[in-house]
Amino acid sequence: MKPIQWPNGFTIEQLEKRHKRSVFCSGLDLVDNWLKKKARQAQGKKLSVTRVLLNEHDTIVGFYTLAMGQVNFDELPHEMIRKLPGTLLPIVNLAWLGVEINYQGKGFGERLLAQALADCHHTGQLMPFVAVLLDCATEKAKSFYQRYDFQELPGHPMKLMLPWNLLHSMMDS
Amino acid sequence: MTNTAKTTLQARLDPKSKQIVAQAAKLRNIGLSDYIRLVLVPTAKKEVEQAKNQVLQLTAEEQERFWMALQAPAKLTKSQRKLSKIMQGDL
Repeated sequence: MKPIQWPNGFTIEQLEKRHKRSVFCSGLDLVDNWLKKKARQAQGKKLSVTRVLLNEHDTIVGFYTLAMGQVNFDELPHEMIRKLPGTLLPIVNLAWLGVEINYQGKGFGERLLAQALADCHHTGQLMPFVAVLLDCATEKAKSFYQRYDFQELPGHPMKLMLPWNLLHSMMDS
Repeated sequence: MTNTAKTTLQARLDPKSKQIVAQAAKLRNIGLSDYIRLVLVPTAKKEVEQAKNQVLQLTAEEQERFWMALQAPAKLTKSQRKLSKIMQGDL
């Protein structure tokens, strides 16, 4: 599988201490505070993984955070769950995605989403899950994800979902 | 000592939803406030507890809709096909 195309000199790396998080500005405090104050801590505790897109000057252009989670299926009708191994089914959360304000509107968000989903697919080959859930921090973020026709998770209007079979088709078409 | 102070919760509901909540409370022969205390608060507690463990809680009806969505055949839309090409390094 070919890697995702980035401009010359741009690289994707797992978040490290040396990355200059303090100057990152997406225009949304909620997103910026996650990257600046919590992302490394959560990664250190093995609760999530954050990957950053760096430009040729090692400045963070964008980032995303993935975390494993579970959905409780304990109230599904018996005939639906009888073939399942349990009632807690694994999912992956695309918990955060942000693009530096000076790079917005240039397609970096779309490529970061593509990279995040490609990572999810790769993970799913080794650690199966039933869907990717996309957390929408704002209505604007939700509109961005909805460009790709992802459905709302029932009962959770600020979460969109991408079932595994759809994700697999996207990597296999 | 137990804190028994009361506060007010205001919620905007469409008429149909308000009617169904009132109907459910009537079935238990209790008022709306008691219904919220007995039914809604324990559900909210469970959701908060499970969120700490990264477990997402859905109602029975939501679980069934989610399950059906997982079973639906995958058919890519135009925008998903474009994203797919980027994911595969072709665009």
